[in-house]
Amino acid sequence: MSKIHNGVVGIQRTDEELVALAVTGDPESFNQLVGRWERQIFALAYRVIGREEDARDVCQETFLRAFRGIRKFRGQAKFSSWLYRIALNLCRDWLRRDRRSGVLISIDNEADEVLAEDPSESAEDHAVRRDLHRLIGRAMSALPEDQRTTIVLKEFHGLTFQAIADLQGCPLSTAKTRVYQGLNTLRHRLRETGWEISGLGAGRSITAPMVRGSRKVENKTDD
Amino acid sequence: MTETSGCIDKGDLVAYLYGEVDHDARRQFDAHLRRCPICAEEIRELEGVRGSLDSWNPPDAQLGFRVVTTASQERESGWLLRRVMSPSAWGVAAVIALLLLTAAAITRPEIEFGPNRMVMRIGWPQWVVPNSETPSLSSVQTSRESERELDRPIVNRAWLRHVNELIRESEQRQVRVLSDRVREIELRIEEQRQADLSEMERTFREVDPNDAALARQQLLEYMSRISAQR
Repeated sequence: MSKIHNGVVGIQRTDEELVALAVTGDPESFNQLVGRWERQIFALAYRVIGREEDARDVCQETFLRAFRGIRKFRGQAKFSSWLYRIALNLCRDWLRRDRRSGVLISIDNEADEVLAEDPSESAEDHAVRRDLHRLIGRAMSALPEDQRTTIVLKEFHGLTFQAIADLQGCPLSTAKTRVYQGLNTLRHRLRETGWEISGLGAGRSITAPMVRGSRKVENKTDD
Repeated sequence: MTETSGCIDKGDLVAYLYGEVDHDARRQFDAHLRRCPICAEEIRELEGVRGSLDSWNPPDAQLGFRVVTTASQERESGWLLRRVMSPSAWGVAAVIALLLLTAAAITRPEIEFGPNRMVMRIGWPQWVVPNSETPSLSSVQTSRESERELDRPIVNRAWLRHVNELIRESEQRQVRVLSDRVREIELRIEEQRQADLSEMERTFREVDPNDAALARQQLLEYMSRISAQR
C-alpha cells in the first residue's frame, strides 16, 4: 500500500476509511470501493451461479444494496466479508428462482470466451485446457450449492475456514467437510472421464485422457 | 468422519491441504503420510483437483459499475447504480416496440364518436358503450351501422371490466412470450458467432504459422471492435 503525504492525489485509503467517507454521502468514495471489489464479487457470483449475465446482475445488485445499507455497516466485520454476505444471499435467491423456473445452469457454452489467449500455447494444449475448463464447470455446477460455494470461497477467494464458517453460519467442521466432499466428488468425476490426476512434488498437474494424446497441463506452483 | 481407523480425519486432511494446520499438527500429518499410502494418494489427487480448478475462470466481463447522483430528487431514491454500458436496454426497447405492434395488430382499436355515444371496436365483436346510464330513445340514428349496434344488448360495466382484464392478461402473456423469444434469438446469434469464430480460427491454423498469427491478431482486433460497437 503506497503511502503518500496528505493532500497529494493518489492516497490509498483502506476499505474502512472509504466506508466512513461514503457514510457521509460521498459517492466517489463508494465508487472507489466498487472499483476495488467488483471483479471479485462478479467472479464469486459467476462461479456460484454459472451464467455471466446473471452474475453481472447479482454484482450490480450487491453494490446497490451495500450503498443503500452502508449506514448499517458498523465495522464489526471486514467490508469485504459484508459484501460477500450480501452477494451470497443474492446468489442463493437467484438459484432458488432458477430452480423453480426450471432453468439449467450451463457453464460450458461460455468456455471459449473465458479461456485467455496464450500465444506460446499450442492449439492442442489450448484444446486440452478448454476441455478441462468445460469439465470443471460442469462438475462444479452439479455439486450441491453449499459445497460449490465453500470451494469457491476457499480456492478462489482465499478465505480461511473460520471466515467461511462465519459467512455461511455453520460450524467450522462443516465448512471443512463441505470442501472435502466437493473436492472428492470432483476427483471422481475427473477419474470417470479419464483424466489422470497427480499432484506429486513441486507442481500440481493433470493429464488428459489417452485418446487425446495424453497432454499434460502443468500448473504454476503457487504455494 | 474417519474412513480407516488411525487415518487422518477428513476435515483435518482438507485443513492440511490448504495449509491451515499449526506446526505440530503438520509434523504429525507428514509422519502419517509417509506411513500411509492411502492418505498420501488422496492428498496427491486432491492437490491435482485443486490444480485443475485453476483453469476455471470467469469471463472477462465489462463491469465498471458506478453510483451516480441525480440532483433534484430526494436522496434515498436519488442514488442510482448504473453500468457504463447497458446492452440490454436495446432488448427492452425492442420488446416494447414489438409488443405495441402486436397489440395494435390483434386488437385493431377503432373509436367512433356519434352524436350521443361512443363506439369502440377492438377486433372482436363490437361493444357499444353508452355515454349515459339511460340511453336516449329520442336520439336520431344517422348511419345504418349504428342502428344495428343499438339492437344488441347493452354491455354492462362489470362485463366490460371482465373483458378488460382478459385483454390485460393476454397482453402480459404476450410480453412474456416475446421476451422469451428475443432471448432465444439472442442466444442463437451468439451461438452462430461462436461457431463462425472457431471455424475461422481453424482455417487460419491451416495456413502458414507466421501469416496465421498475424491474420489471427487482425481478426481478433476486428472482432473486439465489432463487439465494442454492439
